[in-house]
Amino acid sequence: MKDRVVLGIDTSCDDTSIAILRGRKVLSSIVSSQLEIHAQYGGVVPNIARREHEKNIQGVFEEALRKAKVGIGDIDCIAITYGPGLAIDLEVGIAFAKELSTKYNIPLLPINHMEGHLLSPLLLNSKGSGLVEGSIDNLFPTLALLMSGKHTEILRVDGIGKYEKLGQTLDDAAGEAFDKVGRILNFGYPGGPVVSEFAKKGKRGEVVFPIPMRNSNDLNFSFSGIKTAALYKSKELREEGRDEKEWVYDFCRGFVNSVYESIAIKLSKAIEQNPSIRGVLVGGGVFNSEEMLRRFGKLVRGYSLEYYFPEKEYRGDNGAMIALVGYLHLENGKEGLLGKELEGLDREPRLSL
Amino acid sequence: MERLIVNNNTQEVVKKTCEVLSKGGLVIYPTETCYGIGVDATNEKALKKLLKYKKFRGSKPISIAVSSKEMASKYVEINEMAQNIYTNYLPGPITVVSIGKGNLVPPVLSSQGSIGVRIPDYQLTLDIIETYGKPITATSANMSYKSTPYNIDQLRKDLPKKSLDLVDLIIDVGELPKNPPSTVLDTTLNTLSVLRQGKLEFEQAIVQNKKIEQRITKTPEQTTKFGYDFSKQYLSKDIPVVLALSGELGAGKTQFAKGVGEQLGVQEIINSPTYTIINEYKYSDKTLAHMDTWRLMDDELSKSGLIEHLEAKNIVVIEWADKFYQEIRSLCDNMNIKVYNIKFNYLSLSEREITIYEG
Repeated sequence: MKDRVVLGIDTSCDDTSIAILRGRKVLSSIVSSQLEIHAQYGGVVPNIARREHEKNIQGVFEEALRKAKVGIGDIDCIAITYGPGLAIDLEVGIAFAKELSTKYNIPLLPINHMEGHLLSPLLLNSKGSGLVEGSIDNLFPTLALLMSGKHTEILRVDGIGKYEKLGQTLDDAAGEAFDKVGRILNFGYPGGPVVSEFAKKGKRGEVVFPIPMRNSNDLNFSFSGIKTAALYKSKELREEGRDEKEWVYDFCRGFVNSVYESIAIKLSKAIEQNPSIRGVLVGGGVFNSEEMLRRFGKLVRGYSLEYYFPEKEYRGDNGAMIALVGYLHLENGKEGLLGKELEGLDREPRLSL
Repeated sequence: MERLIVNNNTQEVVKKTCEVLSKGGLVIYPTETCYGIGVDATNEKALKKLLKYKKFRGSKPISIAVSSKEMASKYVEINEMAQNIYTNYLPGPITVVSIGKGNLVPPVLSSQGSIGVRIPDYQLTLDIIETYGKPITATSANMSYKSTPYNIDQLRKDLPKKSLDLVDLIIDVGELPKNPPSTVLDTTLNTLSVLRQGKLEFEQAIVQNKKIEQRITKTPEQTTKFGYDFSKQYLSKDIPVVLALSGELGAGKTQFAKGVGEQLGVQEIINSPTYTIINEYKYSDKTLAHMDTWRLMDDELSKSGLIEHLEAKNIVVIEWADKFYQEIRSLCDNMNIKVYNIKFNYLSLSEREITIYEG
């Protein structure tokens, strides 16, 4: 039997994204900010007005169909993010998905956005290549480390749909901490990527920050303390009157190390507490930092475990990972909602795995 | 189309390029990140030609390249944040978004009135722009979805004939190092003047308010405890109120909100709403809304979902409330909702002074 075709929609945050998959293969994946001239900047401050999901969604949908070279009749199922996220954003995607479902009689599967990030390493490109090309049955149990601007969490995964959250951030998410330190350094928004870039040029050990949650016994994270430490350290350095250029790279280096160390301590602890796992899945926009991706890879492989990470375009929010979850649930025998069943579907802004 | 191979002929290249630019021509030029496509950014006709080259869809903007901060300041407002970037980190692979001065048009000007400006770290290109005396467009020379152009032969292969035919000059310096595209930094959000203005309005408002509680906390836990105690004494799940929080990054706003939520009976971990904008927490039969205005711009408060929460008579905790203090205040007054203003001050690295005013 030919693999089923799933349309995935995500409007949980800044971008409107729609993708079409055949099985785990991505036929098309459109993110609204890509529909602009390369090197665009209009969408940088991803505030509400510029999100414009309502304005974007039809165009993104048409582009996804066009690029995938499929018709609406080929779609076997629609997968839609129903949480977590901002209520007014989620509503746009859900309304659009319900409309499509009703109009074309296509079953609709509500998907947890975080499950999308979690399974994103299992996406394959249009030619069918990726990190896990064969069966995924022997992958689990694994751990998952998910880090973005909104989330930082660590989970145990015993199979598709079988998740147990082991720890999460108590305050800021890791990506948010990067952006806020960028702000403290007067970089503009979003400063996080610049902090990562500048850290490359910095020397280790010149500016040292405390390692958050080093001595806590659980698997939770906290980054607000390091934010305060960064604020004070920057004030101190500025008061010394030294040229910003002289210390800013070392400052970023120190900050990135401290964030990495604090997460690494928790990930190691989780790995040691879960000796039966076979690998670690990672996902989320923080892994756009090649350094983060590489260093966690080294840590995981150091335990002789497999390391699974998404391709660059699937690290941030995207519709492909939502379609993937939809497909994997279908394979597990789950059925989508149709007709009257759709009425009960509503956004759940605080949805958790 | 002419292809100029660059070796020791810099002067000739600069001269020729300026001639082409002044006639409204399209030039493919090198930068430290990739080959870009440039036209005179002040020439509307040339910009139209560029859009044709790019097979432009939608209305998203194109950034410009200048040779100096002085040139940039003719076209954009350089605020304190932008000043920092220009002074310390440019030329380099950073595009700085600032508010335009009104002398440039779309697609260089965005619909929000902002312009992205770059100073490429590539001497030949800087020489060209400096000599030309005006900014040129700074967008990569490839089509959307095609790979970043690091060498001319690859680029020519990837370009549709229609686009290639529009090119007047190619400056070929050979294979460029494979550096990532420039990082875009927006300096128009939360400018110091906006934050100062908000803080001022907030502080003027609380002068008239009655101070009801004040505590100095020495740990995050103590800040959370203050939130808990305040909630216990002053809040009731059936009476809608707004807690308007004001204080610097890391001053303890989220810690305080944790305590409020915990006392109300929220079971989940309450964490930062900065990215989601509003987090909703269920407790008994009610919802606690925890909001952060940090990522909202001027007129966006009304579109955030805040009004819906006020209408639903939920308790709403708002971080960075000072940014929108007037709006929040008048919304609450109109709907007869009580406001508590809560101010967070840093006393030292670990000490905070938290003061609560009855609005």
